[in-house]
Amino acid sequence: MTFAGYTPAEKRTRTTFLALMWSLSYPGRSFQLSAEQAPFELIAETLLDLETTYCLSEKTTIHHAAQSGARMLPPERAAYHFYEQVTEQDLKSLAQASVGTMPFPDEGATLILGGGIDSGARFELTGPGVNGSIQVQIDRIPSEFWILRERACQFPLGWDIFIVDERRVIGLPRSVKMKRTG
Amino acid sequence: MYVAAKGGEQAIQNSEALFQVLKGPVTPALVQAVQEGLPYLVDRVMGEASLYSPELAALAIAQAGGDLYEAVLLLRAYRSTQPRIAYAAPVTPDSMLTVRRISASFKDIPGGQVLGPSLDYSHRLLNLKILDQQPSPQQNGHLEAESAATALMNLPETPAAALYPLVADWQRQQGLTPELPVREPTDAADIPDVTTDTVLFPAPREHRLQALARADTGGVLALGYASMRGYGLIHPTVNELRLGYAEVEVVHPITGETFSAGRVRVSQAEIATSGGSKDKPGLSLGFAATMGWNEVKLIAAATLDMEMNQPNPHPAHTEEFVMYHTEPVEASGFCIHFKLPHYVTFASSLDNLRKVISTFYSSDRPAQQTADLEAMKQATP
Repeated sequence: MTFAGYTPAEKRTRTTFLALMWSLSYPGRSFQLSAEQAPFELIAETLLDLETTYCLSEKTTIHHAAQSGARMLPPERAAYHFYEQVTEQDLKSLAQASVGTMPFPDEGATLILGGGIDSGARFELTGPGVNGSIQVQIDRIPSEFWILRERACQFPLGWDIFIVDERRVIGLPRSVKMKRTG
Repeated sequence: MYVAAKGGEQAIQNSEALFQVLKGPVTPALVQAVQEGLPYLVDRVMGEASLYSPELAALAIAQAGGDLYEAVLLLRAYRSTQPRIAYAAPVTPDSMLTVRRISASFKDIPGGQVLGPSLDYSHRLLNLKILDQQPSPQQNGHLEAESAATALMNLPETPAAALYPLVADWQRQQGLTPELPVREPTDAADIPDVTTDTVLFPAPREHRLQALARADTGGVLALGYASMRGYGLIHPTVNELRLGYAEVEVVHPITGETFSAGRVRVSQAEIATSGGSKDKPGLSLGFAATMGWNEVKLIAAATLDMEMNQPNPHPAHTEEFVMYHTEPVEASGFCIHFKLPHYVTFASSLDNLRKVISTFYSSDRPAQQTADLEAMKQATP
């Protein structure tokens, strides 16, 4: 039996999906995104379709989001939140992101945040997917955000977060504990 | 408890190969023959799989060797890989291109009864002459293919209407059935979807109707028949049964224009029984619809819809019972999972059984145990 190969878009989104999946499986470990498109375009192309919802920060423009058929909703109702840069003003809308409910923890939002990896604030990660502990450095995210995250992530409730720095992405699932160390 | 079954890989491969050899090859010609020659079977699989594709349903039937549960599973598995690319506009019964429409409530319904394609009025006789490859003229009042074609040539010049009003609307005008609730316009993306949502009870109306639409025909019939035989609280009358074609109208993603992406076979049934509310006696209605033409399922499903609306239905007619136990893939999957190795569970039961036998039934058991056993026997009614 023969199977059709991947179309360029399928290949691209498959590669991106694998990077995102592995980054949540191994919190704090960085994975590489394709250089074919801007990273936020790649992620939006991969995650959004007709049946998903999203919101964008004021400074974020993603062409794929508009083309996907996904609905743009207010922050409290959106499943995916895209912030190419996170500013102090963005914290108010980020704080409204859904953490899910006990019957439906899967309704917790996924945040895709532009930031720096391997520079800035130091964190020690522990929890599922981490062998003992791992040290990560994350830059260009306001420190108040991490307080919001700690309040939001009461497993099984919380946010799943991707930090995107150029072609690299790290995942911070709601299940991982983050301790500021510097 | 299950244990990992290692080994036997060659036997497993041979098992599947034997199935394929005994079934025969699946060829494009076979798939086409199934699609063209067995439309009601194809409809049933498409309805239970929630995917309208006669060609793929025919392929699933051929690939599964006619095992319908396997075919539905194949088609549902394929469906789960496909993205939803658009939401079609709602189909209203009065916009359906209707080919068959009957009512057992009233003979002279507005628009009239339209028998359409049906075997309801035929003799159920096997046409053995087909096996002998002989021509099959009209015999004993039974219309065979040739005479059926002749009969169709004698149709009146004026074709039947394509659209028909609803019987329930006519009853509503007479005050026999309650007014339909006014619904706010809904974004299609917000409509509950039983294929993706967690099902909670009481289920939203959408979940119930979707579950009935994709329910196992045999399962729905069994529970519906139980109601009809007397375990239910209602006596159903087919208020209206329709077979027809519905336009799949979607909005073009670029031009924004609405266009028809094609027509699909659909059917629906409405069941009536006397009831109404305390304030206003009248008729109560039960409803079911599905992709494809499947009359027996719809009559049973609409009956169950009404049973589920009763304040204290029979336990087998509660919403939870009906929705869970008529789900074809879950039900058949759970049933056949018992073929998986249960060696540890069974060994544990056997250990207990042997212990009981050696403790109470062996000839050298202590006197006290014999007394205990006798006491147990006495106590057992």
